Amino acid sequence: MLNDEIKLSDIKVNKEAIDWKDAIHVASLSLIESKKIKTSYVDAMIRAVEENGPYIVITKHIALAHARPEHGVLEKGISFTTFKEPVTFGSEMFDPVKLIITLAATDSESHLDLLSELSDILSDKEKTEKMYETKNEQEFLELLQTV
Amino acid sequence: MYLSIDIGGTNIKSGIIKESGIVEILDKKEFPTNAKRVHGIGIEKKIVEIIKNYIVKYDIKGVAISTAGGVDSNTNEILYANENIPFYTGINLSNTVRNIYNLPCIVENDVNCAAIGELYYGSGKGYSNIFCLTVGTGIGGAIIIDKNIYHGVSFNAGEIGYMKINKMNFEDIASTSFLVKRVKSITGLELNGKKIFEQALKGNEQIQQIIETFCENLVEGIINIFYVLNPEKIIIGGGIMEQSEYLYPIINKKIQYAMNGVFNNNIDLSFAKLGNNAGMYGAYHLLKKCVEKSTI
Repeated sequence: MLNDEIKLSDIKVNKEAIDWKDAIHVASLSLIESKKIKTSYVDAMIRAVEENGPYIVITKHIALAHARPEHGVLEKGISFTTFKEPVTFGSEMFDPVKLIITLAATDSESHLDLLSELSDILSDKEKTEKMYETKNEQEFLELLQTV
Repeated sequence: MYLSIDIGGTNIKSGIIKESGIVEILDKKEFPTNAKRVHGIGIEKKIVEIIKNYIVKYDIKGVAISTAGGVDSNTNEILYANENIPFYTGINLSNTVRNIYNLPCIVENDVNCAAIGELYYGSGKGYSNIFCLTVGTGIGGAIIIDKNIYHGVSFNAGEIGYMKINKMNFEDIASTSFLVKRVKSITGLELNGKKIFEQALKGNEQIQQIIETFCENLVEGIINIFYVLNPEKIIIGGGIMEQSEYLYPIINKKIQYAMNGVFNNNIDLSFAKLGNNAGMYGAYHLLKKCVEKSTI
């Protein structure tokens, strides 16, 4: 399934951000460029953290940025962004963040299986370390796709 | 008063443990876990919320948590969880509860909690060395030695769902999933566990035979457990409990048959008494022990 859903253009590695808000902006760029989300969706993702706390940091070094579909999802999509310098979100358990997965879902169900599948891959420490380190998008994609 | 919480793949249950006289659970609540949607971190958020609601009503002295998944009982951290709770690994609910509410909190695997619950308040009362197995869609197990959980070096002790029998996992041949699959492949009927037993009681011989096979497989595992640990008692719990009336005579007969001629051939087998609440009772007991010993 991952093979079909994730494309090379969904991945950006070794990016720079000044703080967590900037990081979410950076991690949204590819979805904006591909016209899958509007900028209002980016604001909503940031607002969600401001209002609820850093609950988008779902596991060690990984944040899953998302908001509700009505805040500006045009087409479903997912993107992966790694950062040259880790970003602090204020998550006591899982900071600093090295990878942001930005999710644009058109309904609340369709992405759940994809995330379950990702959870298996992203609990592999050896693999995620390589993902954070790589400076090559193709290599990142291959890491994501090899079981 | 202590608050006890049981986190499962489908539901989160909570309640206040009343200690005076008979230990019982008050003000019980149940919430959908929604784990696939909210992930491990969402469960953490939900737990914080649940505690908040109880704390305004009761004088809570600690929070006991029983949870699905593997737990490092030294650090209280989740070591692994299956695909039903994505991104649960690494979550430390005990630290969260301590940081936010300044309350002692322990986290333990749900099957281990259920075993402790049965040991102190259920079928295991008065015993010191027991094995508990939970048979539902999968199979779990817990080892109690001298009234304590035996965890093993990496917290895998008792996970007999993965025990190999004829090159199969035990849980592939002796869980309700086995029953459901086997019934479908032999009779073509798509029935859930409850319906399967209804059909058996109505006299469907094909299904009766499948249940016989299921019991045979279960007994094979039970005998293996007996020879590894030689416990005083083996307790069966989990979803299968609902059919204990139907199953108990069959399982007992098969055990007796298998153990016939074996010296000291007694396997003391019981069904669990506390049902869904075993985990909450057990977690409470573990917390109380830690608080009394001031090891927390």
